[in-house]
Amino acid sequence: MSAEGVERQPLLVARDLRKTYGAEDVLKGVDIDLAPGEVKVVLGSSGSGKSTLLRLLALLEPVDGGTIELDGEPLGTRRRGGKTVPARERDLAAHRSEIGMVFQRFNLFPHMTALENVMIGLTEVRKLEKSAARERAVAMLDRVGLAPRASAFPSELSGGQQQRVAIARALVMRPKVLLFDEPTSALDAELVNEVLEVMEGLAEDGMTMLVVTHELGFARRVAHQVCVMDGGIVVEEAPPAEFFAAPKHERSRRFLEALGMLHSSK
Amino acid sequence: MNPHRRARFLSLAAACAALLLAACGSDDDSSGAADPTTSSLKAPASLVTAGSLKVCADLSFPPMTYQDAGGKPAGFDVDTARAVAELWNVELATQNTPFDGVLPALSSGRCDLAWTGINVTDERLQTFDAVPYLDTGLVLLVGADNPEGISSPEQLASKTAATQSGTIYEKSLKALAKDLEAKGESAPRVQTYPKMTDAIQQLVVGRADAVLTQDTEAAYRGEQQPGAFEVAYTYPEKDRFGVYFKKGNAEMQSGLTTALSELQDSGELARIAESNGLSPENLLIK
Amino acid sequence: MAFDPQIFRDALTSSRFLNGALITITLTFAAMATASVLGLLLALARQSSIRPVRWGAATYTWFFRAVPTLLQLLFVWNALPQVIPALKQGWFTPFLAGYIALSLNESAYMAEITRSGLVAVDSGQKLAARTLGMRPVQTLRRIIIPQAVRVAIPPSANEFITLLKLTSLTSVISLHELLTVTGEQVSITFRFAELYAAATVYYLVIVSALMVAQAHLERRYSWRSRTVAAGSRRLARMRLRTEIGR
Repeated sequence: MSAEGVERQPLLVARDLRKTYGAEDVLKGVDIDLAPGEVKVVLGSSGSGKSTLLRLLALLEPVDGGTIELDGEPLGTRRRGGKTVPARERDLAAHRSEIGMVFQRFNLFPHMTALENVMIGLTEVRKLEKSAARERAVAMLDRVGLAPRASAFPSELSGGQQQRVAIARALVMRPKVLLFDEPTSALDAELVNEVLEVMEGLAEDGMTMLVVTHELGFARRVAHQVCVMDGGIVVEEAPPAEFFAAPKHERSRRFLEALGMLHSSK
Repeated sequence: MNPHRRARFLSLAAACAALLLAACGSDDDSSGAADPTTSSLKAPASLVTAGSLKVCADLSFPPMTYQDAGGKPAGFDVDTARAVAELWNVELATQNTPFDGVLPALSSGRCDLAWTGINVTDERLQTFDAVPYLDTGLVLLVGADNPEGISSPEQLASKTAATQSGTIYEKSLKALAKDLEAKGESAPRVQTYPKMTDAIQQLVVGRADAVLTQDTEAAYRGEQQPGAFEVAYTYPEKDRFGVYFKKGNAEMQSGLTTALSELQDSGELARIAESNGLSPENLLIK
Repeated sequence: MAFDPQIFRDALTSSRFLNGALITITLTFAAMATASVLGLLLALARQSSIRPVRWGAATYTWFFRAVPTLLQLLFVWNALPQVIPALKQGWFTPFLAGYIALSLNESAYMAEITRSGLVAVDSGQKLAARTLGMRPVQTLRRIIIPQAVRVAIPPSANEFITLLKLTSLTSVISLHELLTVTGEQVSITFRFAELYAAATVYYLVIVSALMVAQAHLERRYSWRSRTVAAGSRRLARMRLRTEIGR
């Protein structure tokens, strides 16, 4: 994948994001852009702040500093009397469905079938009629290859299948951006590929994606940009070819070394 | 210790242990055991073996049976039972049993006598034997100054009357309600409670306008709380209280009758009646 | 007195027993229903971000669990009318008083049960619902509560059975439910073996019906499609065979 898409007008712009939990500064000023159709992979060890970054971008929590803009519209913050202040819950809620999120532990609703899981966002949030919602949901399950399992409950699906349903659930809302928080980390090795394939398919179809993952092969093949986070900031960002050949930052090197990926081809 | 005494001592100890193991609410009433050589009356054989007279009573029906300030059994029935037990040289053991359970306990042998202000009725005499001892009648008890101006049962129409459940009082009130309805009046609201004291409490609460109860109960209340209650009406029909025991127990029948006569002759019975607020004229023992 | 089957049968079908049983059942159902709703509200209040609300709910559950049920009944029936004279009148029936007291009492226990159900729901569930854009009330209704209910079913059934027995306390406020009626009949006819047996049959029937309902409810909340349940058993057996064969 080339880095062409990066030239276009950014879809998601986050500047100087800060977040503090209690006494600890978890994000210390993160800048990140996503152009339409861009796939960006975020690497980093635990504690680097990458999960927090996703939570802020998903509007699950208000920012303690910085701005987020989606399609030019400010989210996460609002203007009050000329100043920029953290957004209120109801402001965040309004925009949440525009940013989809896929979780490490799937978080499917266990009391609903796969189909109902995918439908519920449409009926409750988009206020669609059940029949219209069902149509779209079936189509989406088909897209992730799970149409025949539509009436199965999550407890009856494998991990890979559950994650694919989770992707369908997020996707059916037609979000502008899809965030992935280590989508394959909780899966057995043989189930990882079916999920990565679906994600690749989405990328090919032009979905704008921000993916936190350890799957470096995926990063190499699919990402337009690779970021490394450490200690609450982005320490390096480069196209994958460049990055994997010769990471510039000390932390990036150590990270790749730890994963045994330095100078190897996958 | 001579063998005779040891046997009595052991059976007494056994009886006490058995009583402790019995259902809670059991009260031990020990009157000093008299010298066996000076026993004046012959007690029924079963009692001599056991060494105690077990009496079932519902200790919530003063002045016949109740608990005094120290929680000990008291009342006319208890006092008389104690006097009889002394004559027989056995211990009195009072078992506090809810009224509903008194006669069943007698049936199952958990007590020798049921002595707790129980009316003598044909129905009960089909299953048990009894010795009548006191004439008694029903009254309508009302609160101080008779606020509803009740002077006869008919005036209970569309009022609230309370009494103890599972008793002839309840039957009587329900019959009254039926009568009044048949006459075209609105029936009284009848409420029944587990204990007579609960029913009388409703006079204090102000929910009940009248309580149908025994003249003995009314007399007791009058003494305990002067001025709080009034007897609004006394029923002309008289009933009898009886001591119940197992049907066919001739020994108990004769023994009890003899003991009570003895107490009447010595004036002891009249003294017990007066000390409990009852009129000796109502006694049935000759 | 030997056990008389005829008396037993008569008691079983007597209108007195039927009425008493009816009162027992309706009182239990009504109080349980109210207590479940109140309990849910209290449980949610315990999780509120507003301190006075949290504190109020905690105080409620503390008080109504501490005071004996019998005392609460007597208080509502005898003490309250001193403060609210209207309660002395005919419309304030023993059933109504019993219903109020038992509902308030039971809701404190249901609050704790519901709270444990709510706490048992995985925190990721709320997260997923929020990212879809669902509002807190929607999340509660469609996602959290169904899962909390599943956890709460067995202890709630327990509470129902306890409440069924507790209704016999209402005899002290002159309500004639099943056990009271039984006792009264015994004091009139003294056929206690037959009457106790009849009452026992009633209780057994009621509790058995509840247990059937509970099993049905738990099956509904097992969130398994029936064909898959059968198929997975076959699959598990197959897997086991291949494992052993390897």
